[in-house]
Amino acid sequence: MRYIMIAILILTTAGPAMGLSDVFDDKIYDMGALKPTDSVLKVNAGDLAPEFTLPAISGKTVSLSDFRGQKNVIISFVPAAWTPVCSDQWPGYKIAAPLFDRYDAIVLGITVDNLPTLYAWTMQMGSLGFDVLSDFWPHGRTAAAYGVLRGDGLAERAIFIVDKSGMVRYAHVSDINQRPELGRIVEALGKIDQKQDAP
Amino acid sequence: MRYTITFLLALWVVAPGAWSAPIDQNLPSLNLPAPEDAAYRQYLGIGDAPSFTVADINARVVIVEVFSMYCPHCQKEASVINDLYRQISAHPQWADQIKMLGIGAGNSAFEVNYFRETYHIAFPLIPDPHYDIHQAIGDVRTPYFVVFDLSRSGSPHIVYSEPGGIGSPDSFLKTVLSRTPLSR
Repeated sequence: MRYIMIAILILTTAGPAMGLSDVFDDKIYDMGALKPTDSVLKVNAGDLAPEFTLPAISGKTVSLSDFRGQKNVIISFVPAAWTPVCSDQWPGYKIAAPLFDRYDAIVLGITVDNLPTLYAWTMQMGSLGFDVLSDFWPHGRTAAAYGVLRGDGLAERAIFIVDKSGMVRYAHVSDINQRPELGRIVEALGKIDQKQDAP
Repeated sequence: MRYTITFLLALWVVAPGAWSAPIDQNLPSLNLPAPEDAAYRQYLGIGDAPSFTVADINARVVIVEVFSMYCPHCQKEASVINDLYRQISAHPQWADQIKMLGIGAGNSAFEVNYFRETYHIAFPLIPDPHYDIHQAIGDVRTPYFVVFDLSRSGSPHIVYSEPGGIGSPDSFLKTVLSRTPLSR
């Protein structure tokens, strides 16, 4: 009984969970400070973006080539569901949608989590307005193709912008502990020639 | 029995303190970056100084919201906060005596401005891109509201400090003003 009380005392003084938004209450798992990056980027601006076909929480199967000739694609890799920075990043892209629309761009979110996990997590965030894809199995194959699969099995926190011809126009791997700044994404979108022709 | 009493006493003493952020100690004296827009500086009454503290604001009551562009609750709360601002601005007595300020935790100037434009926020919002302010006040959840009473002598006195939304603007104002000399 003594040890149970001590444990309770320690737990109540351990400090609040790390999730920033109140929407997650105590559901966020604090992974602590991770190594900022742990991969070797395989894709750079000017390269043809590696094709992928992944299952989505919408129930569809989504391929990058689905958007060829139609939309610029912002691929947002985040490390894991139910973790602090990730839970604090995608809700911002929801309200940034009108901004992305100006550049004829859509967002695809990708993590290495399985679909049920992604579904539960994104429902907690509310409707995001973009599809979220699972790179769970084969584990991290798409992340690996882009060079953003970490040694611990997570994906990096990375943004790739692919234009309508399938070319990578922006590739950036952030410090995994920090959210990418929106202004940089918008700046990169602004540099894409909106009059590009479909191949 | 002795251990049970000791435990309960320790819990009562330690737990609330462990969970409370150092807002009381830090936010009133923190140097905050002054808004670039002259109209916002004029609203706050802080002149042309590059930085200011809550105590420098020309008001008797200051309502501070710690928010994030990326926070779903902050996004939903925006319309409520706008109603609060409108109610205050339309009141003949409160308009000059109650000021509002937002701190964008972890948000760059671009992100803060985008949040402002998206939700038509009329009061000043300042960026805190590296979480410096946010960490200094205890890594609070967002949204988080702090209300200061500046009518007393000495350091601004905190009369309200809570996470989450404010409920209705009317009930919020009733609550916080009842804790200040400012009468309805």
